[in-house]
Amino acid sequence: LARIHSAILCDFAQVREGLLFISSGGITRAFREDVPAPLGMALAIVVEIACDELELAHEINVSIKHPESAQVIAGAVGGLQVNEAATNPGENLYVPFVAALQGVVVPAFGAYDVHTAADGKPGPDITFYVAKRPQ
Amino acid sequence: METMTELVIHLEGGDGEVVWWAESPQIPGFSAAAPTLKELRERAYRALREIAGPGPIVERLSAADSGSTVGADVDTPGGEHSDVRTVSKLVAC
Repeated sequence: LARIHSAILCDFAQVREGLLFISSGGITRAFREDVPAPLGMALAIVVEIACDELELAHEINVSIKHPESAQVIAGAVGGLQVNEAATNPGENLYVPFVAALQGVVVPAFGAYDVHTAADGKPGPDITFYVAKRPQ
Repeated sequence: METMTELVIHLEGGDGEVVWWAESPQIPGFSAAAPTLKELRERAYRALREIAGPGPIVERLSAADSGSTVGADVDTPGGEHSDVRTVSKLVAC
């Protein structure tokens, strides 16, 4: 099975030439004038794929839950597959992946939980807060 | 002689749900679908074993759906060369 090695909320992330670029990572607060409002974030993920499963396709799941209402407000599903890797015998592969969540709409102020999973196996959870912009 | 069977995997969806589905170029008309990749693999492998016999099944994630193919003979964070294909769908609930 694959597993989520790490995940971080950020303003923007992209994968270029196999490397993960993160801009302004580590977000735990989003200040908005009013809600509903666009989330305006991305989730940068590194997936660890076991050496004996490099040839298989893998599923990545991200969901954003509003715990007060128990409502899942959005999710992202992704797949990845290593076509070719020059790894050493027994070496796992670390693959970057980005879930672009900029267009997700947050319906209310408060706490939100981001849940991650790879091949059905839960990964790190991240909590962030949407708050009214200070005057 | 055992022949290899390709399983081409697709991810489609939006508006609240996604579906994984698969086809095989060696078996025209074959398709399988499931809400998760794990379930799709179970269904497709079971069907392909019945249709094509015990030969090897090779998975191939289709990048034609939405995603991007990132990297080709490039450095990964581990410093090794790899070619990784990704697809992704955002699901608005």
